[in-house]
Amino acid sequence: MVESVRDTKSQARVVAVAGSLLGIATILAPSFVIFRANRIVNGQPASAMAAFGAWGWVLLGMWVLAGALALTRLPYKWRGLAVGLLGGGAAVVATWRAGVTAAQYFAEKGDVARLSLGWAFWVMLLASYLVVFAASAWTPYGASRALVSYAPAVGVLVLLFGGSLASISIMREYAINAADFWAQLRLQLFYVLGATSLGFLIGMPLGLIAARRPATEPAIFTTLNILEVLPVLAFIGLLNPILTNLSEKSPALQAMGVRGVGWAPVLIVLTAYAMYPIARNSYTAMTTLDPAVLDAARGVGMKRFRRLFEVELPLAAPVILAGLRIALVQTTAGAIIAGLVGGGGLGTFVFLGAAQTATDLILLGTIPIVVMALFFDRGTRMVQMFLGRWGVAS
Amino acid sequence: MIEITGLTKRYGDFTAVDNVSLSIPDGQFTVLLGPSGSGKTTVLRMLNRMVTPTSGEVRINGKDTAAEKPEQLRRSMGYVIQNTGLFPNMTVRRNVATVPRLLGWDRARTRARVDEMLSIVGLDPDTYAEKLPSQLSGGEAQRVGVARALAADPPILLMDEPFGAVDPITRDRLQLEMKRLQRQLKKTVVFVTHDIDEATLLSDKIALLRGGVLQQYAAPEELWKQPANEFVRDFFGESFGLRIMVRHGLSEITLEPVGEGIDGLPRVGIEATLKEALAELIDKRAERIVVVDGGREVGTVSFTTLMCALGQEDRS
Repeated sequence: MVESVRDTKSQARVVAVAGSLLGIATILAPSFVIFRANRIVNGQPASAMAAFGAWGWVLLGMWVLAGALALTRLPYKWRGLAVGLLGGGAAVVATWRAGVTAAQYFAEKGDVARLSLGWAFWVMLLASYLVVFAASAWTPYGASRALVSYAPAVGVLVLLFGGSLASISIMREYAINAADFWAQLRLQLFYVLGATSLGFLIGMPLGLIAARRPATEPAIFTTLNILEVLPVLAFIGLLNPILTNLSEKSPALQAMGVRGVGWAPVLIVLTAYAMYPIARNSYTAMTTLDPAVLDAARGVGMKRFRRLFEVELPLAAPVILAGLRIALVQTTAGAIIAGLVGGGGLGTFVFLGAAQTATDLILLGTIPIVVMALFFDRGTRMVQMFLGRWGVAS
Repeated sequence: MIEITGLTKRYGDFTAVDNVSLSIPDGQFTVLLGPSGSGKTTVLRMLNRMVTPTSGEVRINGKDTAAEKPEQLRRSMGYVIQNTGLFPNMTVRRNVATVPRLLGWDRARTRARVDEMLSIVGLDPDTYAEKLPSQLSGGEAQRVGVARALAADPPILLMDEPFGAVDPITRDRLQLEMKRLQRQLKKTVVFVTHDIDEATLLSDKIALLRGGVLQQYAAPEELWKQPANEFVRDFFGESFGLRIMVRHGLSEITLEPVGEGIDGLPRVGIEATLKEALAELIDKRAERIVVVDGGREVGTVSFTTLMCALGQEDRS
């Protein structure tokens, strides 16, 4: 136990140093920001050193210092705090300076000019994530770990909602599409939560049935497997005539907006995809329960439903929840497809941006999806840790 | 009173239990003993209908158990298994309270009963009640298992190799405590094991099974003196007499008078078992040892006394 903790902490040093080196490289790399005369032309890339002036040196200093401190033998708590805040802080400073530079450029060149974020910027965010991740392993649970983990995100959010980033091209895209953006975000959430809930409501019982009636297991999982591997567009294509037909025959469905394209096939396809990980994990959870515990539950005179709800499901919950997490994250990304078949959602921006070769519009659709996926992942992990507190599953 | 008549269990062509009949009076500690595959666990599990008999019947106080709902039946019998089967998601308190909850006892009564049961099995309620099973040692977990089985005060306790998975020292202690507990609570216990020492120590009567067939159902002394067949004799082996000596105390046997020349002889308390007395004779290389009861010399014991006490001469 102690050995493994020490191990994690020394491995974290490798990650922190590697992340810092990556950070240094991105500050020196050529395409940190891109100056564009308008939104579609190829712009002029610039490194952070060139674009941010003295602040470029500050960023470079932060990364060098983070890497150097990671190599010291400072006590873990202080090392974690210092390295984590430097690495995370670099992300906040870089974002802030990009916003300031964009505002200046915008003021100089007028309405159609854009400052985009280049690949080096995004890679630097990855470097920050790595360093923060490593540093959080050094800090003890509680205030210092929370500070290291969440301060950078809070910093970026403050800049975002404080308006400091308003001139960056993605935010300009947002400003143009603001009303639509929130509508599509809501639609995206509808797809993700709707499909995952339906997938859970259908997939979990299927997993339970397969576990308790072994004869049904091949039929259930063969079906789910086939659904899972059907390519998404082929799947929607197959549903198209069926749904078109149904909606022509039923005015009620028509009134709900069920058609061969639009939200209905998307929700069905995403639900089908979400079912598999949930059913599979439910099945695994229920078939790997301790036989002694099941025997005891029967032996003390618990009836079937009480056994299920008081013993079996609570013990299986962490593993079932892991399946739910996979389904959530998978659906969050998968729902982009709605943008292609008239179902809306954040995919609308992604595909529109791709059609117009407007990278910033693609990012406007992608970034919220990434944030959403991380949020769902974190959230379900926390619930899972709480449920697993009796040490049944990690 | 548990009356088992013609109990049989077949799985396809395989007969796990073959026409077993036993009569178990109230308060008797009965051990189902046999090698693995002898059907002893299946017999036990047919008592609370965890396994449905193919034929034959089990009557408890004259009532046919086949007519009862299995859940009702199980709630009237405590059930302890080898790997404790404690619910890992529930505290010790909630585990022990399982059957009282199923029976709809009110909270105060359940709570008081849980505290009482934990004390009876030797666990301090204040220390243990709120722990989770993962925080217990093997021996502690098994005690909680016994407490859970006894919580609703069932007249019958079924135990399936309950001490099979604990270390030998804990096991010895749990066995002695089990014996004390049964004397104190006067439960009818049916206990499955393959361990001859355990069976000999704990049982009032042993039912020895082989291949699903009952070989002999008798007290260990009788199994020793009048084994029903070669299998019974071989199963208990040459040292069975020695094993039986743990069952009897010096207080049960006729001692030789104290007489002369006892100075310098080793001494042993009256509460010792015959086996302990024998060990003392061997250890001290003595002809005789003096038995003392609260400081008073009440008699002496020699090899011959012990032999006579066991009725060696009766053995055919």
